This record gives sequence, structure tokens and C-alpha cells, in this order.
Amino acid sequence: MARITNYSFLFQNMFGAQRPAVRGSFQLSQLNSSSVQKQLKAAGIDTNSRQYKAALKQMMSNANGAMYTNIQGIKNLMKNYDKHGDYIDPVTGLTGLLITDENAESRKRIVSIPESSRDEMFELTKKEFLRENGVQNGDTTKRSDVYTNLYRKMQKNDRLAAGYTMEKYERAYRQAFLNAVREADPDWEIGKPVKPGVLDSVTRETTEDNMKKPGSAATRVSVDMKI
Amino acid sequence: MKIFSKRIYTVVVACLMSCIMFATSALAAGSYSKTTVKLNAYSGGSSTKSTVSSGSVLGDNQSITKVQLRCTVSSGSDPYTLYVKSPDGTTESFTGPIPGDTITTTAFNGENPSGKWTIWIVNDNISSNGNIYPVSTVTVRIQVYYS
Repeated sequence: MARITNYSFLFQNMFGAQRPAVRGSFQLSQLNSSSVQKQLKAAGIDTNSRQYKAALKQMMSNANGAMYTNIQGIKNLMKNYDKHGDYIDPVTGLTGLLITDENAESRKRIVSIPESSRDEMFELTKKEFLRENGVQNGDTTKRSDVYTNLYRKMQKNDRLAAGYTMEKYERAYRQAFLNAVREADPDWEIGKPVKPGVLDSVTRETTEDNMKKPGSAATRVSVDMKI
Repeated sequence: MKIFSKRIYTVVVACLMSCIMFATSALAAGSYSKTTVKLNAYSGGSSTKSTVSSGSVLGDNQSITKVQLRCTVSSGSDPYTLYVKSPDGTTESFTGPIPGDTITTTAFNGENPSGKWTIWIVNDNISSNGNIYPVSTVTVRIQVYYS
């Protein structure tokens, strides 16, 4: 019996016709079809979950219906989001640190920062100031660690605002050190050795008190808010 | 005469080089530029998290004024989302910049530019040609301006 083989797909490819999907993948336009929905369910994906919706949003932001996707990839994408659909920072495992159109302005607010975090920032800023003679050395600084430690202590919705507030404290501490060194030696420039003991008079408490004074020249930073 | 011409030539070249050096240093002040390693991600997964350091930041108490990102996307790459994390730990995402595209963002404005940036991509798990494993390969150049 003669065997008939269909080679039409070769000609379709040759003339630019759409290729059939590779096994396991399907077009985005078929995502809501009952067969694909069944496959998603069989794979343990809850299509009503916020995780799924967040993954879908990410796919769709860059796609059109004619493009292809696959179930394992959707599962992989979903791992990037928590049960509320918030992006998980893969380095720290924390959520609430992604700047979006919705929170870009609202994050610029002052929140209460735990004293332990302020203390950690003050001590680190002082230590690095002395070690680097006032130079901000991005290769050696551990300032990112202080921010990460702070975020771990804060609620998800306050993390960006906490970073914004901590930035104000960090600036005030550094400015207080600069002022103290220049007061002791008006010719001092960044990079020149800092005289021993010059920073001993600068405390976190006095610096924070100065921040509360309206228009304080001591800090020369924008702290026109109540902390 | 020949010696005189040579001297003039040497002086002109020296002046020119000094001007170039001065201009370069003037331009470099207030910004730094770094490039990531090649970032590969496939099938909805994340790439390596590439870290780049600011190096020494000049000035008293500097703030970021803008950040520019330029993506070199490998030929045949599938769509991806780019994530950029500042030294302060805040992150912004960008939907699949196209090859040669330069993105300018002000999301990090006001932050301290000193420290390490972390940059990575996530493959969007979509492809035009039905690849069972969509793949994205990108190199990112970040330029941070501050004052």
C-alpha cells in the first residue's frame, strides 16, 4: 500500500507562511481557549491568582497575539511574583522595592526609621568617611547593606518611603562630618587626611536635632520636613 | 628652520593634548559609565545579576540627576524585561528595550550615586517563531549623572 507523506509545510515555510507551533508552545491568542486553560490547570496554575495575572501582564507588555508562549515558562515567570502579584527582588527576596508609575511620587514621603537603622547608617558613614578621607568610594562602601537591613525591618508598603527618608539622614550625617572637618581645618579638601578626633564631637543625636531646625545651615541638605 | 618648525609642531600638539585632557576630565566630572557582563535569560527565567560599581564619586553630597541605559541586544533575542537596582536598593523595570535604544530615567533622582548597581533581565517567555525556550541575550551600559 502506497504511503502518502504530506510535505506541504516545507513549501509553507519557503513562502513565509506561519509555522506550526513547536510542541508544547501555543499562541498567546489561544491563552483563553478551553484546551490551553485545561493545560494550565493540569500544570497546577491558578489562573485567578495574582501571581498568574502579574506574569501575564509581563508577557503581554511586550507581545502580540500571534506570538508563542509555553506553560513551563509561565510557571517560571510566576515565581518572580508573590501571592499579591508584587515583584520579588531576586537578590534580597523582598517585595515593595519596585518603582512603578503608581508609587513614583507617593514614595517620596517621610516615615519613621528605627533607631537601630539610623545608628547603623551613622556609624558606617563615619567609618567610611575616616577610612576614605571623605571620598565616597563605591567599590568599598557597604551603604547598600544598611538600606537592605532597613527594608527588612519595614512593612512592604513603607519600604520605598523608608529608603527615601534614610537618604535624608545619610546626607545629614555626611554633611555634619564635612562641616566638622572644615571647621577644624578650613583648607581641608576631600581626599586629604582627616585629623584624628575631629569627628568625635559629631553625634547622631545632635545631627538629627539640627535636621529638625527649619532652614538649618549646619546640614545644608533638604530636610524641610518633620522627622 | 626645520628645528623651529618641529618645536612649533611639538608645542601645538602639547596644547592640543592638554585641551583634550581638560575637556575629557570636565565632561567626566559628574557622571560615570559602566557595562554589564552579557545577560542571558530563557523561558521566563532571570539572568545573572550583574553588579557594577560607581567607583569614586566626586563632590560633597551628590545626588543622581538622571540615569541612561543603552542595551546591546543579540540578534534573534526574544522579548525581555530589564531590571535596574540602585545602590539604595530601589528598582525600576523597563519593558524590552530594542537594540541600540537609549533609555533615560529620572526614577533614581535624588539618590546617592555611590555604590553598586545591580542589573539583570527576565525573559518574557514569548517568541515570534514558536521557540519552546524563548531566549534573550543583552549587554547593558549604564551611565549615571549626578551633581
